[in-house]
Amino acid sequence: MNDEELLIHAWIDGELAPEKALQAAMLAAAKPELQLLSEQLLQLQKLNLAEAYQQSTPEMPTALQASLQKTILQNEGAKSEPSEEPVQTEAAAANRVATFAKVAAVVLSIGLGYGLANLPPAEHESALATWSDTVLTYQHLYLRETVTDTATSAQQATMLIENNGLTQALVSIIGKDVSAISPLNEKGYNFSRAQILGYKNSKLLQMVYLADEGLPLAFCVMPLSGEDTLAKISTNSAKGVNASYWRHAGFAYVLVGSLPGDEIDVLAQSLQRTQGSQG
Amino acid sequence: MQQPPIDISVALTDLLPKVWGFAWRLTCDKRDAEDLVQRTCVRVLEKQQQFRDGSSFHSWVFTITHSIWKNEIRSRQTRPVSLVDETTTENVEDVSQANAEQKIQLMQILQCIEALPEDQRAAILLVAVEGFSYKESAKILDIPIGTVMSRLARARQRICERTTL
Repeated sequence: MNDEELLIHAWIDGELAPEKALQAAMLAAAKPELQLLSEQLLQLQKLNLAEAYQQSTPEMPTALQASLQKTILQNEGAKSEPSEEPVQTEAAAANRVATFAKVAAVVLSIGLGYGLANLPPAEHESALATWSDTVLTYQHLYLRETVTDTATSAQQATMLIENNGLTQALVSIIGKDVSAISPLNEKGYNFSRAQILGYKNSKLLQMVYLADEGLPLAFCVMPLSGEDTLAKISTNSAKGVNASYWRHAGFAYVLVGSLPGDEIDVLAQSLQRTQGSQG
Repeated sequence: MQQPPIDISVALTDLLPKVWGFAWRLTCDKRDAEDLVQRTCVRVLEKQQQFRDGSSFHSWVFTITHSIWKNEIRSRQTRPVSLVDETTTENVEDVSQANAEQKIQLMQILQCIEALPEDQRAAILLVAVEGFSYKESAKILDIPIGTVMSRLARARQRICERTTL
């Protein structure tokens, strides 16, 4: 791609000042290959890609739209009344907690993937606690409907786990079936969705479970190098969201949701025990 | 003249449909698009103090959207590719009332854009679809204007080679 061709592109895109535009027009008139290029670009422009894409883009899902608007409104409320406790409406609480799991996973990937990877072992624990604090300050996104709208099958989830090298991390807990995590099933939580989130070179698996009512419970897993300094389960909570997290055999695990902290902890212990029995 | 400060909540709400469209076109996948819009929204609210009044909120938000997606595809090292299907073609036909030849051409072009390397695809989406200037696109993509121009030109060259243009 030479400078003259780039000039023709800029001319057709309306990026040139009048003097340069005249220069481009003269070039196009003088050189057949540039004439052809300008004709092709005009033809492409005439097809109106923007309109074609506009018409082929689906409407934003209403659940997503509602969730985002609530998030924005919450932000607005937080700005205007920073010293007061937010009003605990059912919808606001639902939005805040239900969306937490997703954001938690994202933050987890950031914190564990980069912030902690190079720390000496002695600092891992306090850094993880700091990370956990960070996780629990997030109050955004995700309604129950958003999860159900984007459900994945257990089979798809299994493939996702295999394709991302996480089978080893989960086989002792879930075997070959993400929908059959006994401690969660016994609590009434059934598998709804799995996805890979990430930050730079770290991959994080998030599995979301829903009971008949209430907010989602998320179980997140990601590879983590270094010693397992947090073999014991740690807990954290903020504004109705509770998390239990631990490390085992090169992986980090977090269980987050709106269940009472002791219930989350019991569930996390059950999950961890299955690892211990095989580790 | 200095512009009055914008209300981030109002501006973001107004911009959501555009963010959704951009996310949809970048990701070529409904679930990914939803995640990307959600993450963009969170990031914008977290970083709102960093937005400078007087600059373009639209391009600032798209910078965040693109940055999140760029990191996402780096971590995955792959992206789904199937946005353009029969439905897309039907929609294009219904609305634009293009003739049959144009319709085929348009479908070929949209498919070709989806198959472009990520950097070229982002450049052509920003300039030819979202309507950003070269300068704005360079800022969103965090690259020099010259690089935007060359990516755009290579993208169009490929489109011309692979379609009936």
